[in-house]
Amino acid sequence: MKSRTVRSLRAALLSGVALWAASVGSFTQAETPKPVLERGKGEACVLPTEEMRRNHMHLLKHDRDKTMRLGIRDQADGKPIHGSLNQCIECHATKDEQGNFHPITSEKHFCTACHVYASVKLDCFECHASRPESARIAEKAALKATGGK
Amino acid sequence: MNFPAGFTANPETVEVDTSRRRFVTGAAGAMVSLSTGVMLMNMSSANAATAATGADARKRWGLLIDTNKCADGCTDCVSACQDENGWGTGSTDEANSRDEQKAQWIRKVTVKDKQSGHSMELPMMCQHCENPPCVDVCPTNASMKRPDGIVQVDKHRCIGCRYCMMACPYKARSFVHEALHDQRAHAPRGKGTVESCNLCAHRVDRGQVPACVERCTKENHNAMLFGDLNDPNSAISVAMKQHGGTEIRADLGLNLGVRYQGI
Repeated sequence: MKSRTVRSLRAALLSGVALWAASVGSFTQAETPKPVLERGKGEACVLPTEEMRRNHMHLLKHDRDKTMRLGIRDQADGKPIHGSLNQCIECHATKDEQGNFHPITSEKHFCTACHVYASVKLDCFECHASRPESARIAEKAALKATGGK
Repeated sequence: MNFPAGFTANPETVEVDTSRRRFVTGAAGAMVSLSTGVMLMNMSSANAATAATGADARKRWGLLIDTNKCADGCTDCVSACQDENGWGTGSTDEANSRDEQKAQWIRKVTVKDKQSGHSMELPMMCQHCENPPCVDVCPTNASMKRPDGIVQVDKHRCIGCRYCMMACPYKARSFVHEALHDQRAHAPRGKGTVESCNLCAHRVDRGQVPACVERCTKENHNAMLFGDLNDPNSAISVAMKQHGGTEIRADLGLNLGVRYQGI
């Protein structure tokens, strides 16, 4: 008697969970589009995309200490270390139609697009540059040429 | 400007009992030596290519400044530092900060001997102490000395408490009070952190000299010399052996990386 009650209860619960999962699944597909990421430069990132997606923060955090505290900026082969934020920006910063780099506040910015979607606050760019240094230099030169400061 | 309070021309020589400092930071000292050991292991296992091994613990970077060549009113080193690291003139940031609050990584200081009336100018910045008081007092290990002797702030760890600013006898550090924009890629700076001269570590790691030294030499003043104090054959060591290099507030026993001639 008792065991039958438990069995039926369990069946009811399971079917409830299944129904809920199905509804969530359809909800995700219908209502929440995946973030649109602009393609970076080059063929591939320093590590496979799946790995970067999941672990880029650990890579950045590990390598920033190497660079900051020990002065290690390159790998043995002379290429920049994998967790170089400047290098991320070199490839992943993209421009709008007018040729200006998307600011970090824009959802078109590679980092912001995903971080807004995942609702994870991003504070790297309170200190770090969110566009390549070359762009900054070019802008200053253009300003100087037109007589601006 | 006269000497600031700390900068007496003839400080009464007082023997500094550094063992007291070691007593206070005993535990921290043990940790430091441990982390150095770990670092050396990492470095020996890494490839021998210099670019990948980072700051070399056998080196100690230093500056030698000849105040006789440092012209009155010349601020080339200051503007070079501003251009390189993106602070001060040319930036629209820190608009709400008073002048004395704004970032100042390097400044020109005029010193005057009251007796003779003789005055001279010298650039003043982080002195890159061997025993830096800023590192002693930092509660988060943000204020740090690299293996090659460069003293700097790891802003990832800085909580902006400003103990280091109080501890520094040279007034070398600044606190950023406002949100900044458009920082240079190689010189991240931000609100709520302390900053100071880092001998242009990003340039040194690439085998270049600091921006101030480059500009001073380029403009033919030749008042600044950068090099390895541990290498007896480096230009800076040779010059210091020949003509000496005075420490400011040598009585503090900090063994400075920045030395002056003509003071």
